[in-house]
Amino acid sequence: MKDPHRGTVIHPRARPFAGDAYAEEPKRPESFRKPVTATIDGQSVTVEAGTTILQAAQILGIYIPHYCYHPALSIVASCRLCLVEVEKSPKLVPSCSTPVGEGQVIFTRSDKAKRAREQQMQLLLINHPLDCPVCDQGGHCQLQRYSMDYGTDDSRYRFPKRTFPKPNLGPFIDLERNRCILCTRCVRFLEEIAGNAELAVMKRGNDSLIGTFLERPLHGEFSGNTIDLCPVGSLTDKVFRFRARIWELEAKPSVCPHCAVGCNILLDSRRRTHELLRITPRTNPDVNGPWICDKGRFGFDFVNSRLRVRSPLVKRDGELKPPADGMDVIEYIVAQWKAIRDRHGPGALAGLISPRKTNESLYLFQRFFRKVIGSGNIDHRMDRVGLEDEDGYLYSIRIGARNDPVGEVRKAETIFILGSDLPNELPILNLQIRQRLRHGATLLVAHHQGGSYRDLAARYCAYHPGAEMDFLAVLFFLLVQEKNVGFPGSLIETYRDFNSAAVANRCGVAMEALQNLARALANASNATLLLGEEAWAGADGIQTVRAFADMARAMGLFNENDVGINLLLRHSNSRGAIEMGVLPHLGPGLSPADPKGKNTHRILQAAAHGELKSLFILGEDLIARYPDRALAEDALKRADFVVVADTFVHDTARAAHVFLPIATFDEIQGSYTNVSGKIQQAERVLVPLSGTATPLQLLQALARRFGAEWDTLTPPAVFDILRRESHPALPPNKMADYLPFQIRTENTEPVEGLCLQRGPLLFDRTGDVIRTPALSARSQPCTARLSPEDVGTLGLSAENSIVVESPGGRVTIPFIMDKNTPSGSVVILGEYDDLGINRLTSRGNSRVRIIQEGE
Amino acid sequence: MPTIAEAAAEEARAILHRLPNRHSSSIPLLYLAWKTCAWLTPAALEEIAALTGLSPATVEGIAGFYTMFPLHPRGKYHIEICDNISCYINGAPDLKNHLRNKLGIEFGQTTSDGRFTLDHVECLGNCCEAPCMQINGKEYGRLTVQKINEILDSLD
Ligand code: SF4
Ligand code: SF4
Ligand code: FES
Ligand code: FES
Repeated sequence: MKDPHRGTVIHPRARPFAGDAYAEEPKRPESFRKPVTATIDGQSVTVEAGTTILQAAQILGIYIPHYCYHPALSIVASCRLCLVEVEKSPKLVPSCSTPVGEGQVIFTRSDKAKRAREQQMQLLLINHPLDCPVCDQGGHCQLQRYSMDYGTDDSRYRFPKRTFPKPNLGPFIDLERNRCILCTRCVRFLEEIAGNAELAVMKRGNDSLIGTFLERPLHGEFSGNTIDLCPVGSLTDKVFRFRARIWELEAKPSVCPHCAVGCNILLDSRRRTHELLRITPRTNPDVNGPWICDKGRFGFDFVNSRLRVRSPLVKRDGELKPPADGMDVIEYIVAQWKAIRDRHGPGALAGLISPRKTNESLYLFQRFFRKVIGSGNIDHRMDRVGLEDEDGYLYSIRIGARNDPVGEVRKAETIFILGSDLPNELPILNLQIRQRLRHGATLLVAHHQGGSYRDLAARYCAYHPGAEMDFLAVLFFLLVQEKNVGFPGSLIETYRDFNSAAVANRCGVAMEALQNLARALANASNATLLLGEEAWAGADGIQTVRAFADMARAMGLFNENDVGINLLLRHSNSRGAIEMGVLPHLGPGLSPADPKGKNTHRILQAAAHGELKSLFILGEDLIARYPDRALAEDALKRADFVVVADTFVHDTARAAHVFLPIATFDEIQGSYTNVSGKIQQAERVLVPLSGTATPLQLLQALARRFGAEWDTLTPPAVFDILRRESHPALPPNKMADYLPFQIRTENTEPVEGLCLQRGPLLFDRTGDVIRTPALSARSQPCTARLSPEDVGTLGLSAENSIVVESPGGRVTIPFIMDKNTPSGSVVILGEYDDLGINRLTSRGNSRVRIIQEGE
Repeated sequence: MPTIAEAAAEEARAILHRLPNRHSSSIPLLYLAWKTCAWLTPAALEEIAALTGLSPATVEGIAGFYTMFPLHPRGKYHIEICDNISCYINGAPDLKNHLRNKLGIEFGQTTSDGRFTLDHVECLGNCCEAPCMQINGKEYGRLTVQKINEILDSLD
């Protein structure tokens, strides 16, 4: 922002001060909404009553310096830098907290105001070490800036400066208390926005300092935002620290690759050393606001890893080696594929691509397989076993689901989440939900284990794993009763002989809890319904979506355009992969595929049986990700020719015949579609590392050797094509009436062993995380959670690890006793590529045996 | 060490009931914890956090704001010397140094024999007798180096 006082000293490349981004208008009671007129520096301004002087001045383009004020946080008026003179007021007033009064005459640059600022700067600098040369904030520091603009040249303080011990706040954030000006922005952010006040002002007076409880490291998921908020060099980025000065960086807009929300970010890179150095949020009120989570902020160093492969690798004597001199790897691959196609037909080839790639890559991938090779065997769903091509999400599109969780949560007054441990899945959405709760919204949650919302939710129901459908059946039944509407005719068949108590018992939830939840839903105004992937991707997925849609209907959450349900996705471009038609049975825009093909599970089965000869896997460690690890291993072992394209050599890559190194997210230009269907562009920040290629280049090179004319397909050109082809002509709401669904009738027999439950964990250890030192240091150790009863029955001692064993394999990990875990279950959250937890779920296993290690 | 819930469940409940605001109930609960645990152990702070719904850091911040609350075990005699303006002008800095040297400890520390804990505090409201200090709540004014020696020697 331009500073009319002196002209600004912000370096043009420096980030604008976080406080200069203006947030939404504060909400005030209706009675306040009368205009007041005042004069600021000779200009007249009319604002709504209650507007502060600082805000009014902003409207006029008059800049008033401030430290503690931030538009997203509560006002404390502690830094006193924003003092202004008001005519007839004996004292200067803090403009950040003083509302404009009718007829007030305000001076922001009078001698009195200027002198107050000067003195305030001197006070703030009394104990400041003035160590700018070794301070990482240098160059974008508000203390530097205001010292130049409003300070004096010299300090009159001649005594020893106070110093504080330096704590360790964990791998992300460095706290240098001597530089702190105690504006408490960090404290207020963690308390008011992130919802966990991990930082507080300790002690008092001259001894006051920012600290954590017993100096423990920070544990929150959003702590990185305090770095942006801190106006001085007190909280700095430990990952970025000392790697570059801010003016050496080049910032480009991009989209976070870590989850389906797709937070808007800026990538700071230094071209000279080909390094991505820092990620900061890019304010987008529709997606992430001004914040991002710690995974998004600190999860990038794998792109700078020295383990990145820089040339194609070909298997010789059982090992991946650089190709022999003069060998054209692309030619070799195409020759193999052509030979296989000639001998066994195009159906012997299959392709799997990660749903984290750009729309352009996904689009060309399906086009390459369908049009160039002629095979319809493609899929992007590699982290769940789906026997059917169709799944709950696709079905929801057909019935016209709203599927805009990010937008919906923002205005909801009641939020009901079924089947998702949201904080570990879509962190920034969790932040928004917490903000809604602060504004009085109600959270209702049903999940199959003790998810993170247990303490926050007004109602929490934990059903047995896999019992979503039973749970919904009872809930819907009770909801209709609560609503006091006639029972829908189309569901009479569904509910014939329905015994709600018995079904409630089967899903493990007390009737009373269900009743309370139904009542809360029935009385909810402005509700939003969210359905997690765990619920819609299960065996009963489509039925679950139908019942969920019926619930929305009973609650009146539908209109002619859509059914008011929102399904959640996990990966940064899951939605793009669906719309681009990387599915065995649907093409771009959900048109019927031509030719049709096999889904992931069938592809792997066919490969394991020797019917499918070649696999092309782009951007995913299939063996580590696929729940049926044994099947994935068999398939890759048995296939004649496996091509893997990715950044690092992982288990899947080692099983390949040819490995092609590809560029990382910062080296690729393209678009991503987030969970709410928003298409967002990411710019290329660095050129692909030498020896690597973008997926687009790779696919083009392959297509060219097949004789296809693909040379003109630059990312913008592909975007143009896919924009035309991939937009599903949104079906009109097909849900004219309640949708019948099926309720299981049989009671499941109790089976041997414990039920293994998996789920997402934000700070786990996947391949990229292992190669990102900061995230790896923050990752939680892999543990098995057991209920106290089971720990007792099994006679386990916490000192030793336990062995979790299934017919698929065994892993040895520590366990923790967790009262929120239902007895009969063992919960292992997160992906740990170094441990291979998915061994346990090989061949569809879900029961495990537990023994103490060393027995 | 008994938890507050074990030792004084009734009182704790009464406080939470009487003062529904989480910040306001934290101070009476801190007193209660002090009474039951002799000093405010980390476990006690965490328990108060759980009772009030504040974060442990916030509770530590509140407790640390008031020099009366013991965040560490204290010795038999708790010496609190004032170093606010009146006392400062009347020689508190020298007296502070004297106490440090005499007891061989820094502020906030306790002598190894567990007899003395030394703290400096804000104005004791006894400025007319500045410089002053208080030991276990008893005020001593118009201090000099010699007077301090006498007072400390008179303690058993
Ligand atoms: S650490 Fe930074 S944000 Fe926090 S109080 Fe100090 S100066 Fe303000
Ligand atoms: S919330 Fe998701 S998209 Fe946003 S920064 Fe975190 S991982 Fe990235
Ligand atoms: S910004 Fe007004 S007092 Fe800090
Ligand atoms: S300044 Fe020491 S008692 Fe008031």
